[in-house]
Order: sequence, then structure tokens, then C-alpha cells
Amino acid sequence: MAAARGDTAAFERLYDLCSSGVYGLIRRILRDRFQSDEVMQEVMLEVWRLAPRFDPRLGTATAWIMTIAHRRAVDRVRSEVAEQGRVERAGARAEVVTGSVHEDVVDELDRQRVRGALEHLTELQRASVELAYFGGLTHTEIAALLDVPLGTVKTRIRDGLIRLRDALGEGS
Amino acid sequence: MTEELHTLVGLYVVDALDDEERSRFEAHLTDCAACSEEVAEFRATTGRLSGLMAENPPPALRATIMERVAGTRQVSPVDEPDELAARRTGRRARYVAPLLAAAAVIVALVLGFGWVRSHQALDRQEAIASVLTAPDATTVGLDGETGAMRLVYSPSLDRSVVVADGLADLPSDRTYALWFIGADGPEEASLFRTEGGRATQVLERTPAGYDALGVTEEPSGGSPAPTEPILLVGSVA
Repeated sequence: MAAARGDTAAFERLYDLCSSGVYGLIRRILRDRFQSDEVMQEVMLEVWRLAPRFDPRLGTATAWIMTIAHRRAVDRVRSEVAEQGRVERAGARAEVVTGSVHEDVVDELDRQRVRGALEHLTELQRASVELAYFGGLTHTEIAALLDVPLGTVKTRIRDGLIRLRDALGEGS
Repeated sequence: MTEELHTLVGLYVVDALDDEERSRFEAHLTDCAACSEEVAEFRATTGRLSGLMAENPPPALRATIMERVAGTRQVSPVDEPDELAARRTGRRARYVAPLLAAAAVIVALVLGFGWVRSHQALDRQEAIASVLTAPDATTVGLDGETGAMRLVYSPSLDRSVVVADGLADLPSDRTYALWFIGADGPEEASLFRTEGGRATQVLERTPAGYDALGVTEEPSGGSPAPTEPILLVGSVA
């Protein structure tokens, strides 16, 4: 427990390094400020709680934290009581925008690379990936929204991720 | 059945499966190495996508979270996967570094692949972690036409961590040089080479008191003064 207590200072630094990325993703998916703040708390507590089991050999820290954040935000958005219009709203904002932030791990150079990589996708691949990742939609909802068969969404998302991965040099 | 589950990797990573499909896929992940690997790679990719969305949280949230953290126990680093670790990796969670847990995450967060892939010695990891988590840690960014560098230094520890990314790997008779530039002109702070465009260094000194930092390409062994052009440049606050 002594170690855990000493670790809170490190966690504050961790928070400063990743909070804008985590919060931006949550806000993008949930939109509602109040709910975003709640989910932000849940996510950062989860990161703190599970930090002793983080293993850098199995993936990057950003990937680990963002996986927790994305899952929590998506679970929340799907459990919304008043979720009418969720699909339409997601569709209306299937476009990547950039916020402004202060100190940030993901620097501008990396953003440029990611934007460049997104341009390698076909329109359908890009729309499918963005509706799922930033819109928080299920593949069934995406198929309905884009008016394509279910199997098409499945392959477009996987193909899109493969192209992004290769363009960003994530292959091992 | 398995054939069909393989095709769900993409949907799983972007959380586009419904609850039942997700559970089925996670059961499959625990004993499919190929899918686990693809999940890890795709997550590195989507993690970077999320960088496009950065937005600062309300400042008050930080205090609330830190207060809750102080009252929340961390899980034990045992070799027994909890649910999320299993979901994340599809393999048994392993614990290695005897670093403080959050410090270990920061090291990986700041240094990214370079550190993750090269399995640095533990004392070096600890030196890096000590700088990144120091209360007086200060970051200097260097930019250029190709590549970027980040130097994090702690005056109280008199130590810096330098991370370079996106630089061209040099032939064996060439090296990069980092210069601290002050009132007395440029002073060579270190020589380094990249691998796959990346390099990580620990320096037992800091640029505190200097005005700027610069990176040049030099013959191996270095030069008494920087050789133009200056590839990367950054100012010390």
C-alpha cells in the first residue's frame, strides 16, 4: 500500500499527459457534458485501479487507456434512457474535427500522420470506421444508416483498420 | 464457427458488436493468438485516431478524480488476469517492471513504441520514470521538416530524457548531435543514432539556463561546432 500511496503523484502526471485525449474521445461519443464528466471519472479511476497490471509488452499505454475510455463511453451511450435520435446524431457528425489542447502526448506531427492515413481509406471504409469509433454505433446500426448489408460493414471496418494500421506502421 | 469469429476482430476493436456478440468474441480471444495479435495492433491504431479528438477536460474534474483516486485501491499485480486484462490481451496478464504502477504507464505513454519494443533495462526504465514523474518535470518540444523530438528534464534530478521520432536512420559513419544553445554559443549535449526513426536517451544534465536546443547531423564522433542545416529546433522556456 505504501507503493500505491506514492504512486498518486505519478498518476497526477499521467492524468495531465492523457486527459485531453481521453476526454476528447468521451465527449465525441457522448456529447453531453454532464455524462462525459461522469464517464471521465470512471475511466480515470479504472486506469488507476488497473495500472499495476498494465504490461507495455502487450500494447502501448495510449492504446490501453483509450480502449478503456472507448468501451466505457460506448457502454454509456447505449444505455442512455432517452436514446432517440442517437443514430441520426452520430451520422450527422461522421467527420473528424480537431480540438485545441495544451500539453499533449499526441503531438501535431502524429495528428498529421493520422489525418494522412485516413485519406487512404475508401469513403465507405472511412464512414464505417468513424461511425463505429467516434459515433459509438453498433455494426447493425451502421448498416442501416449507410444502407448497406451487414457483412459489408464488417469487412469495411476490418479493411479500413488494416489500411490505417499499415499506413501508420503499427504492424509488428 | 471459428472462421466466422475471426472476421469480427475489426468490429470488436471499435466496440461495434452488441453485448452478446462481444462476449462470444472474448471467449474466442482467450485461445486465439492470431486474433489477439490483430486486436493489439488495431488498438494501437484506434488509440492514435483518438488523438484527433483532443479536448481539455474541465479543470475541476482533475481535483475530483484525484480525491477519488486517493480512496481507491489498486488491483494486485498478480499473474491472474482480471476480466479486462483478459479482454485486452486475450492472454494471461504478466507483470514485469517493479516500477510504481502509474509511473510505468507514464513511461510507456510518453515514450511509446521505442520503449515498449526494445525492452530496456530496468535501471534505465527507472531513470526515465524518475524524470517523467518528477514534480518539476518540464517538456521542450523540437520540430523540423522531418521528425520531432521531445526532451523532458527535471532540474532537481539534474537529468533529462530525450525521445526522438521520425528521423531518418543514418549510415554507420554518421550520427545525430543534440546541442544546448546558450549565451556562449552551442554546446554538444549528446550524440545519438536512431533505429526505425526513433531514439531514447537519458542525459545526466539538463538544458536549464540555456536558450534553445538544436539537432544536427555530424560525422560519427561529433564535431566541435554544429554543421548546417539544423534539423530540429526548440526553445527552452
